[in-house]
Amino acid sequence: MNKKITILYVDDEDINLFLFERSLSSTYKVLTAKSGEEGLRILGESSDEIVMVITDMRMPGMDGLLFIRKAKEKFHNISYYVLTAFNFNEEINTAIEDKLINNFFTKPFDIETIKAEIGRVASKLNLIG
Amino acid sequence: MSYILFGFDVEQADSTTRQAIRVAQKINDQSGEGWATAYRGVYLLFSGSLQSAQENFTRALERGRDLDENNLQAYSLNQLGNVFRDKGVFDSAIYFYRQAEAVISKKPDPYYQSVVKMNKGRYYLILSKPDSALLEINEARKLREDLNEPDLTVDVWLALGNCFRQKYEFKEAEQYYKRVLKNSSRESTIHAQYLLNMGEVSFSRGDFPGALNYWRQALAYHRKLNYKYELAFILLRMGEAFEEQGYYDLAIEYLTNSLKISEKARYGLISADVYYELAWVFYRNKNLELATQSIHKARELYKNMKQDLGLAGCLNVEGLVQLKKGNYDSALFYHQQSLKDRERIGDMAAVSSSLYNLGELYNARKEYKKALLFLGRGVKLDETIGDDYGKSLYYYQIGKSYNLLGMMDSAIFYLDKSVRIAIPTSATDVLRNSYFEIATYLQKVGKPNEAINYYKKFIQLTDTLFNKQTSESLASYRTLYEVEKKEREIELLNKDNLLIKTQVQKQRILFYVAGTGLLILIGMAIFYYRFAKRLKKLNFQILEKSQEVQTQSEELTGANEVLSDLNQELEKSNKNLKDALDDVRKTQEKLIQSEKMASLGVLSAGVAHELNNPLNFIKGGVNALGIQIQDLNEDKQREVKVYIDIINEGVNRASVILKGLSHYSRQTDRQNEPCDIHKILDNCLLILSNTLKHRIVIEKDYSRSVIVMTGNEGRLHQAFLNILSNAEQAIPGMGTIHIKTNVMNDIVSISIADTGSGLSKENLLKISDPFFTTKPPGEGTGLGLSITYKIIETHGGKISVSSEPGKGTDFLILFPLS
Repeated sequence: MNKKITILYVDDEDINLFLFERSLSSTYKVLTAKSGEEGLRILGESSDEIVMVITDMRMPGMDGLLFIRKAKEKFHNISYYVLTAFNFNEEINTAIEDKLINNFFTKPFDIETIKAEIGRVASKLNLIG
Repeated sequence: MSYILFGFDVEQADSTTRQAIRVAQKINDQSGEGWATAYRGVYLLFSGSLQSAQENFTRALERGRDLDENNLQAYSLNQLGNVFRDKGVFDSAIYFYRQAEAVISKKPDPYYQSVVKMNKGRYYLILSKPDSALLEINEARKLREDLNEPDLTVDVWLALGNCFRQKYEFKEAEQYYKRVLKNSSRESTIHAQYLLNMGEVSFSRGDFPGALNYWRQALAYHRKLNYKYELAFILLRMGEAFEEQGYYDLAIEYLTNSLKISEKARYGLISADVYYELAWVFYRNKNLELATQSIHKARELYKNMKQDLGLAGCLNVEGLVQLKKGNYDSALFYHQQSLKDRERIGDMAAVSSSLYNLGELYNARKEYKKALLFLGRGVKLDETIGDDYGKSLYYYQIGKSYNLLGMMDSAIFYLDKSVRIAIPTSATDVLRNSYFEIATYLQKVGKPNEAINYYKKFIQLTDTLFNKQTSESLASYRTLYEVEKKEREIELLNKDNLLIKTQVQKQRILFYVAGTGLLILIGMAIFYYRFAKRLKKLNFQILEKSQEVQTQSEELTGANEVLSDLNQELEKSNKNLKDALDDVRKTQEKLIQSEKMASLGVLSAGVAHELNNPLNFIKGGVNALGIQIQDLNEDKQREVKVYIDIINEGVNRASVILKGLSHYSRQTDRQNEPCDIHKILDNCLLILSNTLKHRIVIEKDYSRSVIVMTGNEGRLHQAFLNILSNAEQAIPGMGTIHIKTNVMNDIVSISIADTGSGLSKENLLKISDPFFTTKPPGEGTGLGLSITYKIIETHGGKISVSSEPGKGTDFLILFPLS
């Protein structure tokens, strides 16, 4: 519907990447990365079109929050989110308070909640309407 | 005649010496009169009338000079030396002894020479100068061996034994004492002296009950003979023995009895020693004011007598008192001064005690290495002396120093050594302290359970010490008191007998002396006059004795009061210790519980994370399927949709449970999280759903509006879960839990009422106590509700409970909304 909106999703599990892409690709352009490092590379190539980054927390090598911290240094106009299997913890709470992330989603993820959040981000950027 | 009339029994000597003088005067035997006067002086010396004794000896000395009788002069001079020795005027004493020596050397008589030598030797022994004494006594020995009179050599052996005892050569001393025992009869003065000195040996070795046993026998003998100096001395030593064992009440009793005698007779050194000992007793009894007063009295007396060792001892006690008062610098000054003086005098036991005190002082000043230096020197001394009690005390203090230094291996090595010696020597107080120190050690090396064992031993020993002190000391005190009373009665009976004997004797003497009937008549008149006078005196004495008994029983009551005070104090400190132990136990359990809670948190967070991932697969997969079936025809779509809905329902339910679990286990201290009360209650019910199912009906009566307050969501979960699970457990079979929430005037009220077994009034009061539980052991820690109370309090809330046994319990919790 609105292929102008591009989202980057980072997760170390293929199944998660596959399911996320399948759930949202009918509406948005979804880029995926298997690690923080790969995420940074993709951002470097397509930062112009990416409006939102969603990442898993627990990943081998660079973890989700470190990835966001590094990404934000270069690409601070993008909105960053966490999608995690943790329900809520101190780390997430601090990340929100420090304004490192805008918000967080929990697994199993609810498609409608994520869509609503993407809509909010997009409307701020005047990408819709 | 004089020799025959003079007896060992002081009471008898009183009348016999008097008569001897009178008879000698009547028959105009000047030499006899002189000797009788000297013997009467001896009687007066023994019975504690030093002034009269001095007068008699002076008279005898003059008579000796008039008659140019060397032996009488020497004997009198020698006895004058003894008078001044007992007075504590040592310069005069040695002057007279030297005079006696000079006189006897003009016309040497081996017996009187030996008597002077012996007395000089004894004088040096009193001044704790065993080497000088040994010289004199060895000379006396030679003289007496030539005399070939075995009775006289026994006296020498005893004195030799005393010399070696003072030199800490106990084996040598005991050999001499054994010879004394073999060659003396049980009822003799020399045997009493033997008992006294064996007691000294036991005392030096730290065997205080053994010493007391010897001294009790010696005391009984001297009580019978009424030798005042010996009585005062033995009472002083017994007081010291009681003090060493911690029987302070008894120590004070004996010391004051000794003081009564020595102050009346003006025995300078004994009085000073008594004050010095009293200072120790008061110091140990923590009465620093009285200790200081006593030490000042002792110091004054020692100073007059030029007794440096005594003065050094005073400095030592003064140092201890200052340490107790926390004046470390002045304590150090006193101890250093005392050590210097004692080293100069060369009394090893005294030096060792100074070294110990310096060690203790440096420990108190946290200069442990310096402390170890002094303690190391001191323990070596005690090892050479063979003082087991002292060694065990030293090892304890050394162990303590290492403990404080953090050198754990050395600490336990020495503490172990201390315990090993303390047990066979029954040095209970040292053992107790060592146990405490070992417990400290074990705690430091991280063995709290073993430490608790030693704390228990410490408490146990305190208990036994306390029991020993009360029951044993009271019992022994009473026995002693009874024995002494009996002895006094016997004494009075003896006086009755003596009276009859004297009567017969007097009749005989008068018979011989008076030739005519007139004289007999006059004599009879005098006799009756004297008899009446004596009777009056005797009556008076009996009255005096009964008054003495009266005051003694009053003193006993006083001592009992002191004991019961001590008793209470000990009980109190015991209770404090037990409370401290209980606290340790409780804290330990609390730690275990919070450890459990924390690991539960980590575990459930981990499990939730691991389960959420596969749930994500299922949910994502179903989602994708939902999109895929859009291509199917409508019928098929509807059919598949049912299955998709079922799978989604399952995923949602699982996910809610995991969320609830993680809320419950969350460990943060934040108090600023939004807390939805209804959600929290529902989460708790969800967690409990398995135990509630089919048994307990939950009646929710929630307020219409959502209640959100700020606080710590995890902790509130914990609090409500505790209350709900208590309610669930209170219901034995079927029942209901009614939950009502409401907001009114910005106050949130939550009521949780169950139809369970309820609580009795007493239990209701204890409900917020930590570790209170009605559950059987192992099923509940009793911590749940106390934690709940704490959580609600930190949220500014209040909790009240009403309960009726058999009907149920109703918890009402109130929170301020903001």
